[in-house]
Order: sequence, then C-alpha cells, then structure tokens
Amino acid sequence: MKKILAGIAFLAISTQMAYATQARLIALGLDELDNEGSYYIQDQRNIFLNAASVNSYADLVVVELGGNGRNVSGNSVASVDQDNLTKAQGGFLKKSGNYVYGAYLGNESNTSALLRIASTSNAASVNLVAGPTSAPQMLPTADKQVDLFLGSELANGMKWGASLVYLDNEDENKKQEEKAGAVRLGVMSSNWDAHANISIMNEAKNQVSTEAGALAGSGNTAATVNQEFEGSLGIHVGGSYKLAKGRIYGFYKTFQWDQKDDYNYTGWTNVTLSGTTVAAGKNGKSEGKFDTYSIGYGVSESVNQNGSLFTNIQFKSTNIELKVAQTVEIKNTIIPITIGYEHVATSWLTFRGSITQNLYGDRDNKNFSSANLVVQNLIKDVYGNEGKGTVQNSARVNAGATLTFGKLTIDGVVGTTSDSRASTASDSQSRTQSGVLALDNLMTRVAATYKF
Amino acid sequence: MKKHIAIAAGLAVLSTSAFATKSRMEALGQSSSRGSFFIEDTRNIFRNASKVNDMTNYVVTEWGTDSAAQNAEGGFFRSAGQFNYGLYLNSDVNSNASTQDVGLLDEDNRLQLFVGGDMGLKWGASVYYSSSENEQGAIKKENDTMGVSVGVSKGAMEGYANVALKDESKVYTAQADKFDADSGMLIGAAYSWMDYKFYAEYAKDGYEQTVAGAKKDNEFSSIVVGVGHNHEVSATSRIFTQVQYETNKDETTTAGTKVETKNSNLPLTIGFEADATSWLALRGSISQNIVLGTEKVGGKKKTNGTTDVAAGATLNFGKLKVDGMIGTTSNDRTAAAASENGTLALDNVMTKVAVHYWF
Repeated sequence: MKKILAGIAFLAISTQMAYATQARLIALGLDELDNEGSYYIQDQRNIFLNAASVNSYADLVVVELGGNGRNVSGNSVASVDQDNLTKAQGGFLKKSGNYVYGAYLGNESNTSALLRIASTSNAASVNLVAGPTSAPQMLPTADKQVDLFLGSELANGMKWGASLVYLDNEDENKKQEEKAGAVRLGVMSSNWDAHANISIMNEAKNQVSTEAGALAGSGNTAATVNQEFEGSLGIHVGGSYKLAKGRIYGFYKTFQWDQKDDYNYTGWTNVTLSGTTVAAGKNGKSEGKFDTYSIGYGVSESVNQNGSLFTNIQFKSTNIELKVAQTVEIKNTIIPITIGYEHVATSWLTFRGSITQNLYGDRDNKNFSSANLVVQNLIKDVYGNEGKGTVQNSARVNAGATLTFGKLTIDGVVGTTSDSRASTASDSQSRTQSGVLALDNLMTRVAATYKF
Repeated sequence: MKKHIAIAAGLAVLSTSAFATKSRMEALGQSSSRGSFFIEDTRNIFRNASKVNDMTNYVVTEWGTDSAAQNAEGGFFRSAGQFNYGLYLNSDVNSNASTQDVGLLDEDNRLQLFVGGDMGLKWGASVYYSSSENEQGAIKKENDTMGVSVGVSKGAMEGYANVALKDESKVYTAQADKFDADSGMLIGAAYSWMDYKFYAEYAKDGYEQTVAGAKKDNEFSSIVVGVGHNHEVSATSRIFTQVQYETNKDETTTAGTKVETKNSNLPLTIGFEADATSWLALRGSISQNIVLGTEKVGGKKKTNGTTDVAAGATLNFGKLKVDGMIGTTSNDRTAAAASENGTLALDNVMTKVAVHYWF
C-alpha cells in the first residue's frame, strides 16, 4: 500500500511538472523569438506552436508576470518581450465534454514586433539627436492580442486543435491604426504531429512628427512622417515524428511585408548616434522578407523516477532581407546542441537547467546602417553584429525552478541577478548572469499556473 | 540495525556530496581549472582523462556568461557498456584568452570530447577543438585551437599527459599581427599510499605574439611536487591537508628586452568538508606559504603574501546538487564587484554557482 501511495504521490508531482510556462522552456534551452513551444519537450506553452496541444492541458489558468515589456519608442507604442523586461500575459484552458477551449491574452508576437519596428522610417527613428527631443517615433507593435483555442480528440486517438488570433487598436490623435489576425491549425497522433500557423492580416500605420533640429547633420528641419507596415504573407508550418527515443522535427517560417515611408531624404547625410550610423531611408514602398527553417532531433528521457534529461541538436537557418536604400541582409546558420535536466528535488521544488552551444555558427550580415536606429540595435542583440564571421560567445547556461503548492505552481528563471545590486536593469537582450544564486531576486520571468 | 542504517544513510550523503564542480574545488583551496591532485572530483578529468571512468552519468552546468569572468560552461557524461564518454562545452581550461588581451580574436565555443574505459587498467582520452573567425572589420580575424589528453590509472598509480597542439590567432589591425602558442604540455604522475597521495607534475608552454610590429616571446615552465592527505573524520565529514612545492619560471621578451620571473612557493592547505544537514554540505579551506614563498623579477626578490581563506556549500536535493562559493559578497551592496570581507550574505546566498544532476 505504501508503495502505491508513493507512486501516486510521484505521479501527482510529475504530472504537475508538465504544466508550465515560458520560464521553464527558457531554462531548458528554448531560444525562439516568440518562445512558442518545443517539438520535443511537453509543455503547456506548446499550444502556441501546435494548437492540438490544448487537448493535453485542459483545466488550468496561467498568468505570466510582467509589464509592457521593453519600450523602444519615444511615443510609447513599440515594445518587445525579453527575459529581463517581460510582458504581462495569461489565459485559461477548460474541458467541456469532448472539447477543450480556452482564451489567452497578451501573447503578442516578438517576430511581428521586430518586423514592425524594422518598418519604421529612418527619419522617425533618429528623432533624438538634438535635445530637447523625445526619442524615436515608431510604428506601433501589436497590443491587446486575444488568442481563442478549441480542440478535441477523435475516436481514433487523433487530436486536433485550432486557434484564432485577433487584435485591432487605433489612436486618432496619431492617425494610428494597427490590427492583426492569424489562425493556427494542428493535429497530433501518438507518433507524429503537424501544424500550420498562418497570419491572415498584419497592418500598422501612423503619422509622426520629427522635431526641428532633430535630424542635425542631415540638413533637415521639422517634418511630418507617414509610415506604414503591411504584412503580405506569414506562415509557420512544421511537425515532428517519433524516432527511436526522441522526435525528429522540422519547421519553416516565412514572413513577407511591405513598408512605406513618405519622408523626403533628399540631402540626408549619415547620422551617427552612440556609434550607430543611420543612413538615408527609402522614400516610398519597400519590401521585406524573413525566412527561418530548421530540422532537428530532440530527446526527452525519464531518469531517476522523478527527473528528466533533454538533449537536442538542430540545424537552423535564418535569412532576413529588407530592400531599402541598400538591402539590409541577415544570414545566420547555426547548429546548436542543448543538454538539459529537470528534477523534482522535493515535494515543493522542481529544479531545471541547461547548457547550449553552437557546434557550428556562421553569420553574414550586411548594410545594417540602412535600417533604422532602433531595429539595428535589436537585430545586433539577436543576430550579431554586421559582417561575416562565426557566431561568437554562443554558450548559454540557463536555470529555473518551480515552486509547487499542490495545484498551484510558480515557475521562474534562476541565476539572472548580478552579484552587485548597484547595477541597474539593462535594456540589452542579455540578462546579467554572473553565477549568483540570489534569494532576494529568487526567480525572474515568473509565471503561475493553477490547475483546477 | 539502526547504526547500520545510519551509516548507510551517511555514506549515501557522503558519496553524493563528493561529486562537484569548480566552486567546490576553489572552496577547498584547489584548482578550479583542472581539479585536485588528491581530492576526488569531476573537475579532475581536465588533469587526468582516465578520471572520466570514476564518475559518470551526470550533467553539469556552471552558471555565468560566455567569456565573462564567470564563464558559462558545462557538459554531460555517460556510460555505455564498457566505455564512458562525455561532451563538455565552452571549457576555458588552458585558454590563452587573457594573454591575448590586445585585440586578437580569443578562443571561443570550445568543444571537448571524452572517452574512457576500465579494463583493469583505467584509461581515458579527450580531444578539444575550436575555430572562430570575424570578418566584421576591415581585416579578417581568426582563431583556432586544438588539444589532446590521455591518462591512465591502475591501482595506486596514475599518469597523464595533456598536450595543447594549437592555439593560433591571426590579425588584429594588420595582416602581420598574430598570436601563436607553442605546443604546450602538462604531464604528471601520482601514487597513493594509505590516505596519502604523492604527486608530481611538469608543465611547459609559451607563445609568440606580434602586434603592430612589436614582438613578444614567452616561455613558461613549472614543476609541482606534493602530497595530499584525506582524513575521513566520520562518514559525513573529512579533513584535507596538502603541502606542495611549486616552482615556475616565466621568460617574456618584449621588443628585445627579456624579463625573467621566478616563483618558488611551498603552500600548506588545510580544508574541511562536512554534511551539516541532509540537504546542506559546507566546506572551507585556508592556504598559506610556509618557509618558502618568493617571487624574483629580473633578479630582485620579494616575499609572496598568500594567505587565502575560501568557503563553499552544496545544497543537496538527492540526485541534484547546487554548488557555490560563500563569503564572496561585500557587506556593501553598492560595490561593483564581488569581494571578500567576512560577510555571510543571504541575498547572494552563493556565487560561482554550478548545478550537477546525476542519473
């Protein structure tokens, strides 16, 4: 009887481990712009990758703590979610008969944000040269997004799921509009799964003013700039297949867009701000394209009765092209290997961590100066500096923990606080990881999951 | 019966707390780089590759940031039949990065593979490799490294050789700029007798560096001879003592001017490690030169001041252990960097943290 009870207790713990959040996947080595889930680690977050996953995670509420993310604009309309400056989001999934449904709020795409930020006029982005000015006047990134989910399991065991994404915001004072819509379709069987996530609409536009003298060095004075982003295609297809102890997987993401800038760049000379050069933008319409594809093999294996090991190797290629005055190009090809672990340390604590490093990493980035000031800094954080070479300093060690209080779990990332409290929070992509286990900042990127 | 159970439980705790990381080695006054000459620890694989057979089936991650003072690194080790193998990522053991602080490209993304077996004679070998380039500037920069290690252990005897085959950086601001390390070697042997381990080690390396026409040649050699004693006080605690003679010579010739630096030290190290509770192991050490301790630069001698106290802890969650240093946080939280002034901080409960998970 004792053995049975012990077994039940373990199952209760291990079942709860499966329900988690962005913090868990990041601690286990996930490195995607949108943290949309994993092909080989079971996690509630996977509903954003394959909507059929909703069938595995019914009857729960998730809240991810945060604020508005990292604001990158002077007009407070553009922001991105990053580990040290998170966006608030959350939702619920509930089972009803044969169906699971749910709603999730605030899961705005970082990829979409990056593309909209890239579409901002160069002139509007450097509106902070000469004071007293108010900093970059950006295109708005997505806000107040709602994701609706519905899924079920067929009699033959096949699971299906669908998700509808929608947002629509406007601000007449700035002649600003932004809206987006997408559908996610997914199926899962015991051995394979597949998904198609399709953006059906993604638009943003506004009218901003650059202040007199702001464009010092270019010979320009105050101006009104109309800027616009319009997504023309957005597809993320992928799937995985059970092979030996793990899963082989692959995905392809492509986004194409048009952007418009009506600023007259005649007479523009390069503007240099804190070492970042911004060249003249392109008046009129420009085209952009973002392609990523990957194939990989990941293994999740149980060890020690209450732990798991994760290993993953993948080939991933990212190509971004923005045809402005000069074509901005990003080409990153990497083969990262990830080794991770997760262990139910006590009845109330689960600990996890990982190390990731590129076995191969090559970058070939060109003409960053033709992109606007803000996106230049963002893409350097994510894809490395301009020029050719290997991807430097690719090793990353992450760690995280879950505090378990019965049906309530608190997840977070651990080890991201510097040993000195004098340092202020940095806006840079990288967190401060100096090997410290801090008890005052016990966990960061915290999220809570309640199963009912 | 109760005694037997208590002893068994104690052994379980002891055996698990014995496996650890860089921070454990530093807290016990040992080398965080290649491990200890006489204390069993996973880090010892970087000195003697045959140690890959002694501890296997684990994952280790050392927290930090790639190429920062606290380097992010880690790997996994596993047994497969009669063999044991492992993969370690981003090790900086014997890296010349600090030497090259002149703008040449540093070593990056090292990948190290280990393999070993136990056929009465324990043997092990490892090979590491890295290759980096940067065409971001006007001139392409490159760095390549490679090295091999072999080791054997049989009964009380053990021996090893670690050879750095290549560490080459090309181009800083001009095509002629370069750093080229000589083939470096680290060879050694040890013999165990009762609770003592006697050891000797010889190292030799050097480099040639040219930056903006200024040439710099370096040759370095060192000899270490010592003995370490491991005293098991109880099933859950032990005391370590070590005394070793170290001598090394560094000859650096910069623009035709040679500077010779010689060090002779005889440090005594006393350390302890105890399982304070089932979930907490504490350790510490003090180290100081005795009798000998001099540095001679250009023929001029001075006494080395060397007293060092270090401490650390392991949070023990069964198969998962969190190691770290303690006492490294200043009592002034506005201090920019970690410093030691006798503070037991609870906010920075541990630094130089590493986690190892055994499966």
